[in-house]
Amino acid sequence: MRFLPAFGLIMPIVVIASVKTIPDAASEPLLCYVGGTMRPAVEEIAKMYTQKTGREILIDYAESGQLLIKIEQTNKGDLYVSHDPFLGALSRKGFLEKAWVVAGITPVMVVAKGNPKKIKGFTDLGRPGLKLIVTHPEYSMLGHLLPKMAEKAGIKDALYKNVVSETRGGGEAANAVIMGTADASIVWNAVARLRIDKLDTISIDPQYQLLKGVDAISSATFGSMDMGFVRVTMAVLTTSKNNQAAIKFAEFTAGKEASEIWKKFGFTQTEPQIIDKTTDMAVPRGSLFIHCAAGMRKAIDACAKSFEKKSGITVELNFDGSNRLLGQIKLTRKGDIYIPGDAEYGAMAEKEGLADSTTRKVICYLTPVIMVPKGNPLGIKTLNDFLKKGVKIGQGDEKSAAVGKQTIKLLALNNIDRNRWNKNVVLSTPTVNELGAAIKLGTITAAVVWNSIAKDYSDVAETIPFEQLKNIVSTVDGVILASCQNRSAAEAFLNFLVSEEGKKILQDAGYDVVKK
Amino acid sequence: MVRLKLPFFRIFTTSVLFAFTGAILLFLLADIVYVKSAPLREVLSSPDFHSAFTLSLITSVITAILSILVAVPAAYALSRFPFKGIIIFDVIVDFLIVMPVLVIGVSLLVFFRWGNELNASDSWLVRQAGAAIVFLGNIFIYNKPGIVFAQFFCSASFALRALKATFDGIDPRTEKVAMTLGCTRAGAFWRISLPLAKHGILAAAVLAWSRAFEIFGAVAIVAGSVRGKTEVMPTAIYLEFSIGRIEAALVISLVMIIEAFVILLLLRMFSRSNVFGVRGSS
Repeated sequence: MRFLPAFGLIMPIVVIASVKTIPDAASEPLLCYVGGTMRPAVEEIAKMYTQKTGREILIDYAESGQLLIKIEQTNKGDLYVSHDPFLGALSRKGFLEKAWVVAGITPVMVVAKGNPKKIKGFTDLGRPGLKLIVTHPEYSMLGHLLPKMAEKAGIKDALYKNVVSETRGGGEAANAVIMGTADASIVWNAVARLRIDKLDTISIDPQYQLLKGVDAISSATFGSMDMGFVRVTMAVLTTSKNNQAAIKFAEFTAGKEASEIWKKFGFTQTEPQIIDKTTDMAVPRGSLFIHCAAGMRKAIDACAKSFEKKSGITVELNFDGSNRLLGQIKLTRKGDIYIPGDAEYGAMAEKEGLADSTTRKVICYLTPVIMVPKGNPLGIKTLNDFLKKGVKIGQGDEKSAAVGKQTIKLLALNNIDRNRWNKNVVLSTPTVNELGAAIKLGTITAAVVWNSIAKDYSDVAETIPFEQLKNIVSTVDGVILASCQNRSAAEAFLNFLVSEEGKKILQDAGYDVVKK
Repeated sequence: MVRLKLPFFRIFTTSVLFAFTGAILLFLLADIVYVKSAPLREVLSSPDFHSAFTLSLITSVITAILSILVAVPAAYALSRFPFKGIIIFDVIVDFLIVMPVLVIGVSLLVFFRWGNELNASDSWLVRQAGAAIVFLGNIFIYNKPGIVFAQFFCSASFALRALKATFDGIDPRTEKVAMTLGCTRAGAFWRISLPLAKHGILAAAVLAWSRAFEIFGAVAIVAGSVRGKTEVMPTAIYLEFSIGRIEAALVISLVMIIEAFVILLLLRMFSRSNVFGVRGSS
């Protein structure tokens, strides 16, 4: 025991000696906090960066939430890599200088190698007797996503009946599947990729996946969250003493060379995006004003209702003839989205700089058909029969409605004499909708309308299709207007229209989402 | 001791011992079987693993020694110099035993942060205190000494607890006799109680060392889990688990067990007795 006092002397010296002398900021290594499943990828990117520039990067890894506590308490560190919703939390705490979106993550199903339980699709997770391990909603974004997806697939109760345990993170859940304590789990694609030699990955059916900007929820800790697109971000911290070096590394991480590494580790590729203190990180909110062709009314009405319910965004709809709408847009320079009855109008809007062509999305197809009163008393079979004496033609106004312009084209295509045709026209309507009503009221006896409109009047009218070669199908596009005040919400709405969910609503309303 | 004519009791107790240790060995065997030779070689040859191994060993030994240096006088005071309200201090020592290690780590960080706030005070004295805390913070946070710092606060209480029991078990009359023979109070402690407490001190050191060796949460919070810099063995296990490399994590665990086995065995041989036998006879 005599040596005890000697130790008392030696130990403090050892401790102090082991403290490195602090080098100046310029050459000091960058401290990069890395949360979640991003560590292996960031490690490799950092190694590459060090080789190129000589700048050393220290990576401190823990759960993303724990890292936030460390940043808050130590006021140290240069960079923070996390996935949503932690960037929002970082920003709210005032530590965000600037952030780069470097990749994205998507949920996938994982099962033991060889898929012994034969899980094919997402709905199989509701199969009785299956043992599932999932992440806890309080600790993980995935925990929030899963119930929404399960709800979409209509297997929420069945799926949660199968849950044997809830973990904090996806890594733990995937490990449980490796160890065989559960049959399947839902984890991020990047988590699955790290375990590719031990697990099989099955993608979630697209119709059950969540939509960017549409499927959103609010949480007390993180505010509103977009569940359709989970971003991986690298943030430069306000605590960084070497801001310039940190920015350079962040740019590298968001750059081309690094994107290969993100890809290799199973992350989703994303559009480059920079976020700073002033960027509104919340999911789309507010309202949308949409100019929509009257012929699309039934479907777009239903879609807007469903979208409003899911996203909390208010949608105002302005229905009219496509060309009239274009006139209004030109005049007022107001509105967020334009959905004309034919792609030609969208192209015209783009040509005049009223709309952003890069945002154009195909929503559905409109096919002209001949509509006559029930029983077809005048025996109309083709456009030629329209020229018969006594036929009362109703026509969409060529200068107003898409169906009107399309009718004129059909006349040319079928070699119909315009003068004889015009003689029989008794009614010219601003939109296609009035034509159906006119047939019903008996004021006209023949019209060319969209197939989707004709279906609505099947109790009072008959539909006669054209020969395929003698017909022109209109493509209905949605495009974001230059006057758009709420771009993220507008993108979200268009994404919703073309999603599996939106397509189903369109189809149920009688619209063709696939070109026939 | 009452001599048993039939060895029933001996058979019973021994079989409980065998069953318990047998179960432990079975788990280890399962680990060994699970681990393939490829990850074993890969882990053992990785430079990060080597640095984690060395760092773990050095920091845990330093922590154990520091713990004993603090625990011996503190436990002695608790045991021999009671005063009104000493029980409060006794309970405070236990705080660190019941607190989750993660909370201990966060509390240490919160303390260092406090230094920054004190630094902004109007009072010169408070500012000096703040500056001192910030200075210490810069030494410990995200640096190797931070590992020892975090380990110390997670393990010293265990050593203190064990040592208080040891000193409580030593008859105070032996010291009194020494003092009547001319020893000072300190002399009586140094010549009588300390040698008598030898086994207790070793037991306390073992407790403190084991705790320091296995602790992770607090270390990761204070010193970070930076590869090659502040990565200790439990950190390495955590990092491997987090990316699903279960075999690699098990390899490191097995190495930790072997390391611990060797150290605990050495300590037992060093004391030539069962180090946990406070009475001193093997």
